[in-house]
Amino acid sequence: MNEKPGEKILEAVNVTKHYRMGNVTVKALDGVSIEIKHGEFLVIMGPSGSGKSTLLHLLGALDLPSSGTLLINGKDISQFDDFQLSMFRRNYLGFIFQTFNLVPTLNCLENVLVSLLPSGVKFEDEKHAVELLKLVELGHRINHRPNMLSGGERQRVSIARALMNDPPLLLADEPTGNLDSVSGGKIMSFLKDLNRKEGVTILIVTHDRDMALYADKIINIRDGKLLDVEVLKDRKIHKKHKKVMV
Amino acid sequence: MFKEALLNLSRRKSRTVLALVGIILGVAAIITLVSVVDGVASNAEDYLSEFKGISVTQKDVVTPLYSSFDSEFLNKVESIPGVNIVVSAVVGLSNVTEQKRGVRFSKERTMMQMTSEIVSLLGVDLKNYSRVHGTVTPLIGELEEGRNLKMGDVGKTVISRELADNYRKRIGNSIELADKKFDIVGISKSGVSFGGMMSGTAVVSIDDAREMLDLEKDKVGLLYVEPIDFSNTKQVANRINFVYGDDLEANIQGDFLGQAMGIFSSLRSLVYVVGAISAIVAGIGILNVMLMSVLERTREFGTLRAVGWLSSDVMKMVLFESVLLGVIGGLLGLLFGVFISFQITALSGLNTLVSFEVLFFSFMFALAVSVLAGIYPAFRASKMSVMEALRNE
Ligand SMILES: Nc1ncnc2c1ncn2[C@@H]1O[C@H](COP(=O)(O)OP(=O)(O)OP(=O)(O)O)[C@@H](O)[C@H]1O
Ligand SMILES: [Mg+2]
Repeated sequence: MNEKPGEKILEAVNVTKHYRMGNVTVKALDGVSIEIKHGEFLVIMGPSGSGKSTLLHLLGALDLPSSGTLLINGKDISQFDDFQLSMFRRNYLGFIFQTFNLVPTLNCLENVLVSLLPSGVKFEDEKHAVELLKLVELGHRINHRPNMLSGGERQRVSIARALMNDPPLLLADEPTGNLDSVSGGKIMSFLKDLNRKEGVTILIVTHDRDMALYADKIINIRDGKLLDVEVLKDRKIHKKHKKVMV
Repeated sequence: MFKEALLNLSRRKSRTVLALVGIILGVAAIITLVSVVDGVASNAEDYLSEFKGISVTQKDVVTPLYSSFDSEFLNKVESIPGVNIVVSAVVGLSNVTEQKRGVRFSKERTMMQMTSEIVSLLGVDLKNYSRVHGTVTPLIGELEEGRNLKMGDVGKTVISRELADNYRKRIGNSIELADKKFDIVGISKSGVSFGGMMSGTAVVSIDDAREMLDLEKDKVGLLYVEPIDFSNTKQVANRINFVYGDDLEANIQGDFLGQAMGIFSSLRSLVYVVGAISAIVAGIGILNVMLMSVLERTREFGTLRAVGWLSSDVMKMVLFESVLLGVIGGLLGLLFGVFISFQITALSGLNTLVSFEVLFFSFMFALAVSVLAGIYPAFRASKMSVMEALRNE
């Protein structure tokens, strides 16, 4: 698979997502088509309830659309089997949830390492996990469990977890939503570095226009529909991530 | 992953403890209930198997107490084909004519005390007595201590445990029955006493009994008949009834056997019913405790799959957890159940029987239920998309 910079890594084609609640059907997404290229840094913006998280989950192959197609490196994810999905989520994708989704019985370090538990954690993995926790300024909270942490601290653990396997693709749902502007800014510039230096493709959901200014493009969403795409920087992308999808 | 399973168990202490308690109580409940019923059933079985001969009494009497017929029937019955041994006996009531030791004599003796002095008396003809295999009447249980009466044992007696305890008698002591002193040579498990008011039974020689009961020498109350082949018991009884049916009535001991088999088989089915009910109750208890966390766990399984665990990885972890819980809980439950059964026997004297089958069954049952209850949420979560599992409330 040739994954050159500038080629499509993710593509949504006319995707809808409906939730049935009794007689009422909520159209969380209503015919959205977008494409994301290797090496891009994008931001999704829109009011609360406009369908941003829903879209991000679909792009991360964590949920199934009601209709439409999602492609990862040109491959239809509805054709992926359990093993392929698992490999994609473990090695290729880093996902930061709006609601963190940490495992309550595991401490910070174990939560960062959780994807590796079935195959076994090596010493280097543990070292890497500790570095990541230090990076998000949680070096002193390694043995704490999620219920002892503040919202912002949990958010940073989930950021460290998403970065654990050096994923070429990072999807983040309001990753700085619980952070003050200083820590939020640090995280954002770190992510920007990842994008520039490592070639990680990044897609972030945010309300915050200041954060959005780090991005190349802003995708605006209203009521489950794509409103427009603002191009902030027309950047030529050269850097390519070292990992490819298997 | 096994580490994660262990962590899950050790860090969710209260849930793990709850699940363990559920399993332990379930297993212990099955074992206790079944062992009690099983004990009763096997007691009945043992008891009934002691009475294997035929008892012959006068026709149409309510109890052998009122039975009396010519002793010449002894030879007549003996000559019936298939008959091996015939022992003649008389049955009556007597009383203990000495003070209970340790009880101070007072003029106002209560009814209770008076009735407690009455004993059922069995006088057996000692000529053939030592040759019998079964028990002559339901009056006498199996011998516990000492020996049975033998030829020439005049003035000797075998008394029931109940009577011995009441009067604090041991082998070698003597006891006064109807103003006559008897040496105690044996103590038997108590048999059935008429009306349950008597303080026990005493077996003496037929001559002693006739004297005490003031009975004629040529009359007997009961013939105990043993066939050559015990599998022919029924036929031999029928022959006696056929030939001497006008005067006598032959019954397979304990009339017993017929009814007895009925009682016995219904006791057996009771064991199964009790076992099944306690298994259902225990199963629901275990399931309830284990499933309490389904929703919480469904979300956790969603998280694990979101970071790249295979559904089979999740299953393996849960299976490991459940088997561990099931085995530990099951084993502790076995110990606890056996302990309770022993305590029941020790405290109430109720016989309990802990069979290997009930141990095996209850252990496997607990294991199966805890594995199913553990796997279920994992299986459910594997059928959902990751987000569905994560959204689970
Ligand atoms: N499980 C669900 N069942 C029913 N409706 C849902 C469900 N999840 C989301 N929705 C609805 O779909 C719409 C889009 O939700 P979504 O979470 O994508 O919004 P969002 O843009 O991420 O909002 P926010 O900025 O508040 O996070 C909302 O109206 C929401 O109520
Ligand atoms: Mg959202």
